[in-house]
Amino acid sequence: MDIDRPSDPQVSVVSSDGTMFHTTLKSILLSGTIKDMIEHIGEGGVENMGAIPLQNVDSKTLEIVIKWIEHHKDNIQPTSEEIKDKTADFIDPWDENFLEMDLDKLYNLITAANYLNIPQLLWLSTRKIAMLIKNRTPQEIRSLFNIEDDWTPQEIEAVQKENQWCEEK
Amino acid sequence: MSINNLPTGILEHIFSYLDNQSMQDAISVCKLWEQIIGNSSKFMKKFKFQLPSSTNCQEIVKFPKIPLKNIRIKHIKDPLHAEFIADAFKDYKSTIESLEFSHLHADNKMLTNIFNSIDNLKELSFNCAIINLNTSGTGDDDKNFRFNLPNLRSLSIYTNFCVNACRWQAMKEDPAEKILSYFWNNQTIETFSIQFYGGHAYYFNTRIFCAFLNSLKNLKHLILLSCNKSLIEFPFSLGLQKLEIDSLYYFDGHIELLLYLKDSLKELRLVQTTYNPRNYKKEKPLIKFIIDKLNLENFYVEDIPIILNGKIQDAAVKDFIVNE
Repeated sequence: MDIDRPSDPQVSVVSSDGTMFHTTLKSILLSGTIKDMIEHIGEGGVENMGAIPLQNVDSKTLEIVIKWIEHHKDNIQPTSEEIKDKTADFIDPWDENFLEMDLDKLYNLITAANYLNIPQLLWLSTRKIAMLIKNRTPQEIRSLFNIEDDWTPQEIEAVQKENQWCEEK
Repeated sequence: MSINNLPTGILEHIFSYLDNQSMQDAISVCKLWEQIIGNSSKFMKKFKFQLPSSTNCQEIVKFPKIPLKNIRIKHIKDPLHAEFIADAFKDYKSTIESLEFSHLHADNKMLTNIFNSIDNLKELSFNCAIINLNTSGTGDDDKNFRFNLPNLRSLSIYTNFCVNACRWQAMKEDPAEKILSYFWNNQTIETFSIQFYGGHAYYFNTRIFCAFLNSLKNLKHLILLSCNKSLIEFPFSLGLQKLEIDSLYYFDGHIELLLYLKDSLKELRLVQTTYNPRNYKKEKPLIKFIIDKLNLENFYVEDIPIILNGKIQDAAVKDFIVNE
């Protein structure tokens, strides 16, 4: 298959609930998972391969993912290795705005980015959650994320004592 | 969907963006989070451990259950401390690669106890450390005492004169010199760095120091910090490839000693030097000497490359050399 051809052929994907989406090859190749699939197609090529079924992504989430990959299709994507070393806190304002969504949507987006193997999107979305955790007390975190407090007072005291020396250099 | 339905790997990913304080708050949120953070090797690559000043080791908290690599330990003064640490290290026998002791006042038996509990130590630093020979041992053995660290690649000794000055006055012997004696003839150390402070250098026997350097058979990289005394009075380390000198004040008359290194030395770095090799009129002899006599691939002054990959980088230096 010739990925580098100048034209950007249409590709179709189908969500878990059966909705078909049309996008372009260039966009969809941001997904490592789909890239792997397409590279193994062999005879017939992209034009004849038909719609790609994505069993683990529902239509609402797929719509969001496609919006993101189409916006970023011409950007050079960092590898997951490069992302690991990423410390810079600079986020593209478009991405910042894009990530303004309720937590449920965000969880689904994270799961989809993980399944589809889109390192940059996974980085952005997980970092977004981390930013929500940062600078909040445990109780604030629990109520924000609706997490049940399953510690007994004795347990929590022991845990806090055990960890109080953790001091990163 | 709740956040705790996300795969563990993803949660790990999220927690890895947190700073230390936030991570500690996250640990307290729920048992699942505590488990993930407590068990993950992604966190706390660097680990500092400060012993309480009391000797009651029962109160010392246990180490986390993650593969620790770099550890910094402060205030070991008591054999019980050493025993406790040796015991705690057993779970990390093969993972610990780097240890830094600061404000250490121990004897060689205490340290041997700690070193015997780990297999793969590559880097070792002493910061304000005094190590005494254990006098309860048989005297003859102690004189030839060496630490057994077969994988050690890097040794650093930093000593804070202000803290230890009074003790040294009483000891009339340099604590760093004592530490060096336990590494004499080491075959594996490639990188050695030592920091000299005024008082420190006063007691320091340069002849012994240079002999020590020569005894390190595998030494390739030497870092001399706060080098405010003429330390390089004797030829040393003939196989040295990389030399870094910080705070160089009294180098006059000893420049020629670098000639001993000319066959092996590939990189020279001068930091915070009173010499300014870019002040060509004043420092003509120094720069001319370095460029003409030494066969350097890289030469830096304050991180500015003068020679890079064997080529003179600095245009002014180039002119200066050509016009000579």
